[in-house]
Amino acid sequence: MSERSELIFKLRSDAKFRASYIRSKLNLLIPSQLRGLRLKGKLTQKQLADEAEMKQPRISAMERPGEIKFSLETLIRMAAAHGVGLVVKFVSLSEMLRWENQYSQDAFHAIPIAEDDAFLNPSPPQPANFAAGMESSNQLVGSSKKEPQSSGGGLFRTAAAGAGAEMAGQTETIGGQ
Amino acid sequence: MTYNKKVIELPIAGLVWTFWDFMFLSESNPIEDWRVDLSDEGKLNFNSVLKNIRNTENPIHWTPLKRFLKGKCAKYRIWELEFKADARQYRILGNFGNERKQAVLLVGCYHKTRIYTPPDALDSAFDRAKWLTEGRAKLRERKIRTDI
Repeated sequence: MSERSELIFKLRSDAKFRASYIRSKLNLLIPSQLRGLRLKGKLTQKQLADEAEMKQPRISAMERPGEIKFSLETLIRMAAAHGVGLVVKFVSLSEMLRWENQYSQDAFHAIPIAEDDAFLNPSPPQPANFAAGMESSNQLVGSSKKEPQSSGGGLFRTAAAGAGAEMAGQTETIGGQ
Repeated sequence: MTYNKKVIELPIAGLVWTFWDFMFLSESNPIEDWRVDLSDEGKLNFNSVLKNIRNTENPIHWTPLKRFLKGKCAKYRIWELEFKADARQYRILGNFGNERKQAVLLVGCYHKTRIYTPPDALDSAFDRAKWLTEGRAKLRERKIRTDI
C-alpha cells in the first residue's frame, strides 16, 4: 500500500487522525498568516503587542508553528489589532488542501480597514432582485429566447445584470457538473 | 535623440524553493530514512513545513525557521527549521545549495531542552555540508506532496 493510500485510509477511518491532519496544516498556516500580516504592515512584534494589548513574547510564540494553541478569542484579537476581518468556516478536506497548496506568505494580504475602500465607501447598491430583473429583461427580448438548462443543480446568474436589454438573457453556469 | 533605456528586472514568476536531500555516494539517503520513521503526524508536518516555505522568497521570513546556527556551522550557513508533532519538537538542519532557491536538507532530528537526538546532529550537519562542497556526497530532489 502506498504512503498516500495508507494516509487516506486513516483519514477515512480515524477521527483522531483527521484532527492531526487538520492540525498539521493550521499549525503552520495560522502563524504564517500572522507573520505575513505583520510584515506587510511593517510592524515590529513590540508594536503589534502594544496594539493587541499582549506581551511581545506572546506575539513571537504565535508566529512559531505549533508553539501555542490558538483560541478563537486570540484570533479575533489579532484580527482586530491588524484591522482586518476573520473568516472561520468549515470546508471539505480537499478545499483545505487546495488552500494550503496555493498559500504563499509573500502573496498573502488582507486589506486593513484604513485602506479598505469597499468597506469605508461602498458603491451604491445594485438592483437587489436580479431574478426579477432577468425576468423583465427576458420579456424585452422576447419569449422565443431559450434559457439554458441547469445541469447538476448549477446556479444561474446574468452575465451582466442590469447592463441593458441586449445583454439580457445571457446566462453563465456556476458550479455545474 | 537618445533614449534612456531602463531595464526593469521582474521577479521570476513561479520560481519556488526546491528542496534537496543530502545523499551519501552509496545512494543512502539519511533524510528519507529519518522521515519514513516519523509518525504519520510527523510526516504530515514535515511535508507541510516544506510546502509552507517554498513560496516565501526570503528565508529570514520562513515561519518554521528557528535560527541560523552559530559556531563552526555558520561557515556553511546552516539553518534550523522546527516543527512540532506528537508533542515532540522536530528539527531539520539544512543550508543553501549552489543553485538559486535551492535548499539542502542535511539532517533530521529531535530536540528537547538543548539536547538533539541524535546527539551528533550538529556535527553531522557540518560534516555533510562540507562533504557536499568537496564533492564527497550528492543531492536528490525531494518532491513535495500536494495530494495529501
